[in-house]
Amino acid sequence: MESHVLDTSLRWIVLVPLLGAALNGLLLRRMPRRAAGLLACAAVGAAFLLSVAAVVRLAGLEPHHRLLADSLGTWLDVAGVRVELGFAMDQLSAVMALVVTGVGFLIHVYSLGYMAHDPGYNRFFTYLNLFIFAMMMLVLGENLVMLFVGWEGVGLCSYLLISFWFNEEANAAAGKKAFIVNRIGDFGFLLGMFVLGAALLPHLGGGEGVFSFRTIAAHTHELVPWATAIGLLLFLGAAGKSAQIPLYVWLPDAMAGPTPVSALIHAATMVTAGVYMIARMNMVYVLSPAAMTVVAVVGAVTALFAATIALTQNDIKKVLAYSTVSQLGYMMLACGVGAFAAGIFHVMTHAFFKALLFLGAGSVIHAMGGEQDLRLMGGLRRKLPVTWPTFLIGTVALAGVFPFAGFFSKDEILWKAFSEGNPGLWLVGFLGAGLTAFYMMRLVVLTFFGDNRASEEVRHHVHESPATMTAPLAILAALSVVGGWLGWPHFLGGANRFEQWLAPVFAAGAGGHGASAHDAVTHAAASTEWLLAAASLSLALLGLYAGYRAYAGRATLAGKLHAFAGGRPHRVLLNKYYVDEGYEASLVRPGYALSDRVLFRAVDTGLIDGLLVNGSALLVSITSALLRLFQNGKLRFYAYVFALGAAAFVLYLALTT
Amino acid sequence: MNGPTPVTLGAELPVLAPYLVLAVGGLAVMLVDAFSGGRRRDHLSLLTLLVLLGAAAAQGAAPAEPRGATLLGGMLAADRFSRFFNLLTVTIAMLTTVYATSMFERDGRYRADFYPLTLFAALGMMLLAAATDLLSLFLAVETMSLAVYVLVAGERGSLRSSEAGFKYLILGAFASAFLLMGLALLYGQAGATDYASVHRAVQAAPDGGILLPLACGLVLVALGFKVAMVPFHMWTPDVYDGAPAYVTGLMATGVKAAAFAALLRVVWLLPPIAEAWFPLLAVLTVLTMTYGNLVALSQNGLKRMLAYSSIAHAGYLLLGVLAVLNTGRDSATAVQAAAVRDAAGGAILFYLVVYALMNLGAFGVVACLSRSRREEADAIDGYAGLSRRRPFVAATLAVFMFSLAGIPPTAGFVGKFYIFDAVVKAGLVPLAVWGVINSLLSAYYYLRVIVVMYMKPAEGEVHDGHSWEAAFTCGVLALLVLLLGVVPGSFYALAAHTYRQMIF
Repeated sequence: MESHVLDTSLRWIVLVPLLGAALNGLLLRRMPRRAAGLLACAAVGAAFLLSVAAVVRLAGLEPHHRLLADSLGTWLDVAGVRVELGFAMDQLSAVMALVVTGVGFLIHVYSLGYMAHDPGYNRFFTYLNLFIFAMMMLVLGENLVMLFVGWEGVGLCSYLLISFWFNEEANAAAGKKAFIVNRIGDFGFLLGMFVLGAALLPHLGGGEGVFSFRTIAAHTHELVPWATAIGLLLFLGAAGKSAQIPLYVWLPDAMAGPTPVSALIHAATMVTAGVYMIARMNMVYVLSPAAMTVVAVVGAVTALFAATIALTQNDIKKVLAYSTVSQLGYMMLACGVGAFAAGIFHVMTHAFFKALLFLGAGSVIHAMGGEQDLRLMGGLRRKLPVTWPTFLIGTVALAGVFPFAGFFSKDEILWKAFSEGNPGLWLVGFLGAGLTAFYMMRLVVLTFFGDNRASEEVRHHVHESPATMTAPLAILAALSVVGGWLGWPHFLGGANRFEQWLAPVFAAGAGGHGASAHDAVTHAAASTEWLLAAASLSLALLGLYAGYRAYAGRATLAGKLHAFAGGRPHRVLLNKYYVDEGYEASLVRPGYALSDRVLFRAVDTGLIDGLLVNGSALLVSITSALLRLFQNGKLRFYAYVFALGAAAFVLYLALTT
Repeated sequence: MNGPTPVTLGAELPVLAPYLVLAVGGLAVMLVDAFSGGRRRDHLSLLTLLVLLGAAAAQGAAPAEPRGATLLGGMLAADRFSRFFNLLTVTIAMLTTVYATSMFERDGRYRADFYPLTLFAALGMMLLAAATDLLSLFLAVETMSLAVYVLVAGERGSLRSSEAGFKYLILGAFASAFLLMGLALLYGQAGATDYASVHRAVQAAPDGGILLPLACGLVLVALGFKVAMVPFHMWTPDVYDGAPAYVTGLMATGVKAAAFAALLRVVWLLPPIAEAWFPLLAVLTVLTMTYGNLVALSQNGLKRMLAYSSIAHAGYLLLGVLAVLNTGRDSATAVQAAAVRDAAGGAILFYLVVYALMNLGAFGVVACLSRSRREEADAIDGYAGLSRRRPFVAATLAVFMFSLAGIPPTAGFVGKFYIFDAVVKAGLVPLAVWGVINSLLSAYYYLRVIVVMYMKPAEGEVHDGHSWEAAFTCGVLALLVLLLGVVPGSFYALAAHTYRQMIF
């Protein structure tokens, strides 16, 4: 990775969406609605085309020298800490850039229809473009600081868009929750950066940017003693952004935002930033088995845990939200076992089918006049001729049915968990996959099968969405089918070109984990892989069937499930394991009490304001009032003081010389 | 600071021109007034401004002596230092003239004696800053003081003005007596009156008994009186408060700057006896800062508040003088000592200019808002709601207050920074800390003015005065204060360079 090719188009990939946001933002009221939407779409479209062109140029280079770089100059150069305002595109950034701008463009187009009647139309597109800008900064940043700026930028956009309809208290609260929970993660991220900087700085020569990924990769041996600390701290950041246990709680609430936002930010792109960051820092993570283990275990547990909650939710978007948390868990699991390429592969396929599912859900909500409760839906198959088949494709893709996209990426992860990790991790992921198929089928059945349970008036208005909304659905559906074929595995006679493409990025530190290891796969391992794939495919089909049986037709089976063991398990799941309540009681309320009673009333009001500020002020004013008495306006007194002073003066000099 | 090079009278004339222009101009204005009938006197203000401009032009045209030279046989210095103060003095006098005239016009009642007196006062200040002889020092002090006594007292029909003038006169005479006594003792020791000879005598007999320190002490008392050093400050609040606002501005800036200039030159005579002086001056400096700030806290009138604030600022400037003095004692090498001395001297010059800008700005606002000379805009409570009524004037006053308090990005902050920095470099860290604490204390009463202007509604109908010229001048001054606060470097370099080239 020593050599790189200068490519000034990188800056425009980042800046064009910013330009779109700036134009829309500055002309907020004057901009006609149509123009605002089209401008925003054009900006992202241009960014997508620029990305494609850059990736084509990148692909034309030697595999191990694939790196495009661009710099807007030096940002900071203080006390040896040098930070470039630089962008870089390697194979990993290329994948992310294409996914973000591509899916981002489709969702922008979709929003033209979805938000058509919203009074905040222009504001919405301003934020959306701003988000693309921040996200591109995140994935194209040449160093950890640039990445962090993008990271905070997407966090801000996420906050703005979650509470987009800020007139309702709940939406504003959800935005705040997302922001605050993410701050906890960011704190870890920052500390991780500090440790990294402190560890590297003494070893650097002049001119090397300490946070540049290339510098970090070149100095991994100096980082060995610090790798666990850095890895765990950065993972705290990743757990915040990518909604892992224990910081996942903000993501389900984030569904308060408009549905295209949920699709773009809270499913397809931003929430995968944590996975991207860990993959980006792979050279540090591979130094620390402990940190890797934590990542893998947290990922696996999150995958299963969130899947169980998704079983019972009644809000169509909440189901998808917990599903997202669960799928992010799979990506983390992949990173944790060293299969970074598999994790990124799942990031991509998940972006396709989860965006599709969210947009499909948006289309359903749109058709139902804003209704999101599954219990009031049903029988929409014939009413929504485009939404229904595309949604079904998304569902089977997510469930992991061959040959849809989800099969390839999820199977890759489960296989890597088994072969590189241990059977326990595999089993947890395997069970989660079964649950995924079940809850997705439940969602499909409750939405599209049976009779419609909505009120007469709503039923009357049900209609398919306009072309701006259905066209993206169709494109995403196609991608959800073929997107996985890029990573057609070896055991099925493919070449896994996706893994090959990324291999140089992860080869640097990965040692045995890269694509080269795959060539050495033995026949026995291949047969195991066959077996596991067959098992997970069967389980997916079983889950889909069970979900269908449980909720289609007579609802007695579902009723039995709900009533199982006195209904207690159902209640626990429905209430999401009472985690929010637990956090409220253990952290939020004590924290509030501490800050209100101790810090505010005792320390701030009492000690600082009362004693230090007012006390010293009182002392000063008393002195001031006393001294003022000297100024009595009497000339004789003044002359007297003068003479006294002069006398003291002379006396002092006489005594000291 | 080597021996000055005498020049012949013919060659001296161009260098003397600024002083001559003022002296002759002052007489001319008096004559013009005597021969012009009627009540209007606005041509006098024009003429005065022209004379001041002429003095500035003469100063600009005067041949530059890189190492400086003395004039009139060692009486006056013609160095960059005196040029610096001449230009500063002329600027201050011009601003004062603008303010005063705007007040006179508002009343429709001119005060003709103001113009020549201001010119003579300015002449005295310039001479004081240039004096390099015991005699010229005394004459300059008296020239300046006599003019200012009358300026203070000359507001006919105002009891407070007369009272202030009277107090200033009596106590000033008192101080002059001390000065004369000190000068006589110095002459007795040196046998000559020019600084060079005095300096040689002091160097030659460092252990000359008590007389030398005593003489210097008496001179210090007198100059301390002029700069309002505690305990010789008692006159300041009464006089500043009683004098008309436009005169107060002149006193707080011009008189103070000239006195400090003289002090900086006199201080050069001292090093052999600085040992004895130093602790005393340090104590008085601390007292001056603290007293000024503490009492300013409980003032309700803007002019009186600024009077105490000027005492406090004299304290900060004296801190700089201490840094200048101390460098001969603690610093490791002579080169270092010289570097710190130059830094401190430059900081004092910089601060004097900044102080003149912001203080004249504040008095300019008072002049601008006063309805008449009888009803000066003095009560701080009267400024309530000013930000609504007169946003521009309020904004400029806010800039001046921030600057006086030493808050960035104003020049006041930078000026204090340079002073405290020099003090720290001279090894006087506790004094610098005390200065910073004082600065903190002062923020209260400066910011209070801003709070009143911006956050308190006016009570009832308020009729402010208005003067287009004064408001414009304040705007320019506010801009300068901000400019020097943002890019102070080159001006500070100029000030330090000026100080380095001072004769004596």
